[in-house]
Amino acid sequence: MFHVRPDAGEPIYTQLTRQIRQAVATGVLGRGEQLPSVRQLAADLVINPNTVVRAYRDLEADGVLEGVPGRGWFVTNNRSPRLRDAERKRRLNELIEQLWAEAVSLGYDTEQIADLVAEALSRKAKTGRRA
Amino acid sequence: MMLKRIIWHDLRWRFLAAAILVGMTAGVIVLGLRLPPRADYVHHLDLAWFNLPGASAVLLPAALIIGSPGTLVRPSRDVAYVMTLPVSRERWVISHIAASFAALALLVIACDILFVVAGWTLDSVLRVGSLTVRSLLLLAAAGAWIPLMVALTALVRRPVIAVPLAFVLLSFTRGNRFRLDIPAEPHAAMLASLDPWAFADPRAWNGSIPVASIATATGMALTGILVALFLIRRRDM
Amino acid sequence: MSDAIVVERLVKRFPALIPGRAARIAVDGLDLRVQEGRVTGLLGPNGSGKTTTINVLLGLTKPTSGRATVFGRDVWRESLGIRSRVAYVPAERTVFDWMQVGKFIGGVTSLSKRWDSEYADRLIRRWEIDKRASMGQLSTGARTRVLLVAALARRPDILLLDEPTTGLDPAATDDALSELIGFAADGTTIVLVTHHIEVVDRICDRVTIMSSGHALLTSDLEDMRSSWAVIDVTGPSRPEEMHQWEEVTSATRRDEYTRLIVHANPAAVVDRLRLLGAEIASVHPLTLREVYLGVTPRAADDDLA
Repeated sequence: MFHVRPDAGEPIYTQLTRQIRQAVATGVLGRGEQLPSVRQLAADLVINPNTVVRAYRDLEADGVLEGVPGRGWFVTNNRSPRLRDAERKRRLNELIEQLWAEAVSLGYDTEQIADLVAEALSRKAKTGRRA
Repeated sequence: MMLKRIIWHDLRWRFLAAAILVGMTAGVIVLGLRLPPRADYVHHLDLAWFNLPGASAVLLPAALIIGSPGTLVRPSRDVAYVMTLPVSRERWVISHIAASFAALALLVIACDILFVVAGWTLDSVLRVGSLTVRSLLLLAAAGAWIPLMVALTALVRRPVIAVPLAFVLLSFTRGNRFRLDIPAEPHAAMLASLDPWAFADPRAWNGSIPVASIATATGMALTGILVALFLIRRRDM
Repeated sequence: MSDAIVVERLVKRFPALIPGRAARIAVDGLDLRVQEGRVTGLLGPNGSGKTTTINVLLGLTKPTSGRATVFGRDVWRESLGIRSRVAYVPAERTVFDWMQVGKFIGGVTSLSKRWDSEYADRLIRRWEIDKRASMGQLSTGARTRVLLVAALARRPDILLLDEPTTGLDPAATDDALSELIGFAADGTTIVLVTHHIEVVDRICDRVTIMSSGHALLTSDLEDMRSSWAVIDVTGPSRPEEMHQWEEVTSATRRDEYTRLIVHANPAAVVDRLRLLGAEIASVHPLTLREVYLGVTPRAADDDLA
């Protein structure tokens, strides 16, 4: 999948990181997919394993890959985990505001809404169990 | 490094203009040697270039041109960015003065090289020691005007205003320092003792030190530095 | 948590260039507090004084009156110390058009005490910045990225960003905002000056809406989202009376209902209305955009993105 040329004028590990990024961006490497092991890739490309490690670590620092000890290297599920967290939280708060607004229009007051929500959520926990 | 690069990028056209001005004058001096009667080269150089009034006073307009920076204050956009970095305004001003001074020094050195080379072609050897001393005095005399130009530019903001303004202001002062005679004749005329250029004339050092002239020049330079610092410290960038 | 930036009754008046014309008052009594480690958005139409305020904080512009301090130090008198801890991305992207990108970044490096060259290299690679091009050859988005690298790799305590997403496509914007959130998580104080409401919405904790040189409204974003609401009321109601309530911004009678815009404690207002016998026809939370449009006088829609 990857090709590196030692005489390309560009450091090998840069070529490698670029190609991996492209593969992830275009979907050739899917979310959560496992990459070749360091040793395997180094052997395939005939390069120093340290170069592969450096490339993988770089990409890990950028959040593109994650190294799972004992299992290998994987494409991460979230490209921008922090941004995603902030947006999720915001979206949830938005939904809560909408819920409150509609419930109030229906005639409920805030305390009643809170009770109903708590009830509904505890029912969700219950239905998780098997009878 | 970054400051020098910014300053020099702006300086280069004015440096070129000054270089042409000075180069032409020095060139005429050197060519004048080839005219009959072929006088003693060293003596000719003294008469035409170093003695004042003389041709070396072309370094004064050169200093005015070089000394007016385009990157000192707005409207230069680059200065606004640099001033958001941890660079003190004092350092900014001093860097400009130093760069202009260095550019002027380059011109003086270039003239000296020209004179030495021209001398070789005439089998005349200049004494490097005395040439250096005279040139240093010239550099000091011309360089003393740079801080004032920087201060003036801090006031009016653009070299395109500051340089013509400086020339106009200069025309109101007495003392014609520039003289270009080919062939050069010995003349007794000297600059007034208070003139800030007087100490650059080798004849002024016969017997005594031209203290008055040195004091005027130093005073001018210091005033220029203080005014420039004062203005830059108080201005909105 | 202490305040990283404090602005009190700041006024900046630019004297008239042409005698006879009125002086321009860019900042007219601004009060602003930015807490350490928070991401604050400065929102407002053109001419509201946002950029001038930033210029004052950076020691570029001298205040006419009032106080401004950064980490307790006066912004004009102690500017040099402040500037070693503050990094800036100017709205004006056309700086150093003539300089090579690599030289520009190298220049900023030489003037920075805490330059993180590994991080800078990583960003340069990730954003595919061509160090050999001159700044003038780059697109606006690429220039934005270069200026971001120059600011972020200085590892500052405060980031002052003027329109940091200009020229960036949605993916690049996500990437840049993600970096900023990372800095915020590490405790960097961030001030974002922008027209783009959605950028403020996405990453700011706190927002100050400015207009005509002063702050109209300052609020934590989450508070704003919970506190602002439109309540449409039917049944007996007296808008003039409701307008007097401290939570109410405005109360207008429409044909069949009265519309209340509430900026605080909507739940209490709802309870009170019900006690008065009014019926709540509908309640809507307000978005930041709607609050902004409601609060700024005659804010033109084309000011906003």
